[in-house]
Amino acid sequence: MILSDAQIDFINQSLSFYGIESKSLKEDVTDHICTYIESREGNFNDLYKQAITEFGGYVAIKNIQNETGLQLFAQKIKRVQKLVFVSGYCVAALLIISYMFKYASWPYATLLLNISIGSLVLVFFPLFFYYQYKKTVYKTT
Amino acid sequence: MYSKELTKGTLRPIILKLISQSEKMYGYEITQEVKKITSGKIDISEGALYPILHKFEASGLLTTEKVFIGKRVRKYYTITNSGLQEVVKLSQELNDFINTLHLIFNSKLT
Repeated sequence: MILSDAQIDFINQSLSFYGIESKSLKEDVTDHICTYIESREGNFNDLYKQAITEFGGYVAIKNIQNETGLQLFAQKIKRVQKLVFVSGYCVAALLIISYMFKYASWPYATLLLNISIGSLVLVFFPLFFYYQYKKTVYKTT
Repeated sequence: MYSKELTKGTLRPIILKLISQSEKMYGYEITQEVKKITSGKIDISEGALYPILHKFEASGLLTTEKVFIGKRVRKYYTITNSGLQEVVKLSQELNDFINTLHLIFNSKLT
């Protein structure tokens, strides 16, 4: 059967109602349901119900949103983890070098020390605590 | 039809391999194609398909192209170069896994 614009709108809205928030995911699922209905003949209401059942019901539709969010979140958290590691390494190296400069009384030792302490406080600590916070959020979901 | 436990780990390679074999594919087409090729033995659930597709897209293994069909949008997924490299890696790993399983399940017990 061929779907009318109103029917496509109905599918779109019902997906929002049942918990699909991401626009991109909604486009995918709407197209999936529309294609399912269009490849069959019959009454719209029955075919729509069948399509939702194929998905595993409305609860499963909400789960698709959660699952997609989690998959993307897992990726983001890995990137932050890398950043924490790299920034930690750089700050540690900077600190060691600046203390070496200070110990040997070389020029610019104080400037170097200030830069390394500054980057520790302004770059490493915020990243580290952000990562810790995100990790707890990820675990609770 | 195989159980979900059995097919769970193979979904990612299957989806990526299928998309790499054709120019572009959309979600519904992927589920139907898998059903057709495996004679219905492997059924990719929609609930598993779309999170995987979105993850692949976010990690740069797939790109999307939007085509308007009347009022709705159809998203075609195309494989990228890094996606192709991933397909080779996953295929090798999976083939190796199949051979290893073969050793266990088709060997004569002594």
